[in-house]
Amino acid sequence: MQRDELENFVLDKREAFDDAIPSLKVWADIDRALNKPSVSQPLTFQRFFKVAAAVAVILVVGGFGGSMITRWQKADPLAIIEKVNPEYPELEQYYRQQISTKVQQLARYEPNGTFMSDMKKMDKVMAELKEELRVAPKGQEEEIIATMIQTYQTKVAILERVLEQMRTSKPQPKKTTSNEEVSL
Amino acid sequence: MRGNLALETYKIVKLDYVNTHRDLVEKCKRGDRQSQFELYRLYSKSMYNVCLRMVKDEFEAEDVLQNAFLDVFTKLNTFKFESAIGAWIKRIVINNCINALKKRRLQFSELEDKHGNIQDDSHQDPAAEGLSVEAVKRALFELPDGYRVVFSLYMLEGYDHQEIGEVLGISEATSKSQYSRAKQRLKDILTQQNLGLYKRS
Repeated sequence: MQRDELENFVLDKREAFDDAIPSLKVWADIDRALNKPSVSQPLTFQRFFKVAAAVAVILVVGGFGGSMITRWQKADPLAIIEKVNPEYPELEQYYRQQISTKVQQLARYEPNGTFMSDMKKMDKVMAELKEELRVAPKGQEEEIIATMIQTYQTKVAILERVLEQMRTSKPQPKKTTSNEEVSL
Repeated sequence: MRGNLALETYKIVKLDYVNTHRDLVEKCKRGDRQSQFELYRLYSKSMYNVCLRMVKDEFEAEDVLQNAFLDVFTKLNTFKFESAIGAWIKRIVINNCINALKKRRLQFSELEDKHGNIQDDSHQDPAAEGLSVEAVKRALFELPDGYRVVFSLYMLEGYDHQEIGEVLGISEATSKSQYSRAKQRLKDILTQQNLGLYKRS
């Protein structure tokens, strides 16, 4: 289509249309947002284990009491999950993928680092939580599954923080990769 | 031979085009803050102007720009150098603008009902000597949101009607007719501005 006078004018002067400048505050806010950890409260391994331990105690006590009533009727945690929260498997797969990527990145910095054993501890907590589903009293399944999702989120957040610290303190990652496997 | 040479030249140019700022982008992907600032510095001014034209409000444009660049930095790992980084950033910025406009309840799908054949030359064109960038910018800001967005995307951001259709969720035909209407309205506003100018002088 042939251009008219107005269109030719706009195209000729195109550069002049971009004369506004954003305030410096925009970058300052972006910088601040990029610095923010992905969860609002500061995270430490100690805090994570405190929360996990508290949750485990509640679940064990609740589970024991509940089990007296239900007499271990529930068997398969996967069936319970599917019934209570059908979206959970998809979420779990997403978080596992996130964790896997971050563990691989982290292994480049610290192949035999302490985070590997910490990750294993968290895996153990997660396995225990899943196990608690078997004996949880009726009505508490949803809460447990929510805690499991929260545990995955916490794990990703911790990995992100450790990775960020590694990047700042050790800008050159090692080329070797870890052979150690971490279950997710 | 000549065809091969042209093809090779095209490949080199295209390669160069998609590789613009490759090192910088790679550093940004690794989370290097200095590089992220450099990428922001390179594109923030032009992208702010895109936002301003789309949402028409300085404060909102800055908010949209901020959110768009946060999206850019968090999604950068998905950028595979299949297009130029500038075009990729612009698409994210435009999507953020459209979301902001949708929050104002601007429904682009409603544009579908209004399109028809538009006669381009049914109105008088503004006098060429009366045209200035400032005048066109002022006139652009007087257009209704839908017209302004389509006109900006086509004339200033270089999108074709198919691309506009994709980003706004409307048909190519609607984009074309909306553009014609927008251009005509813009000419009318400019003519009015000129008349006012003549009256004052």
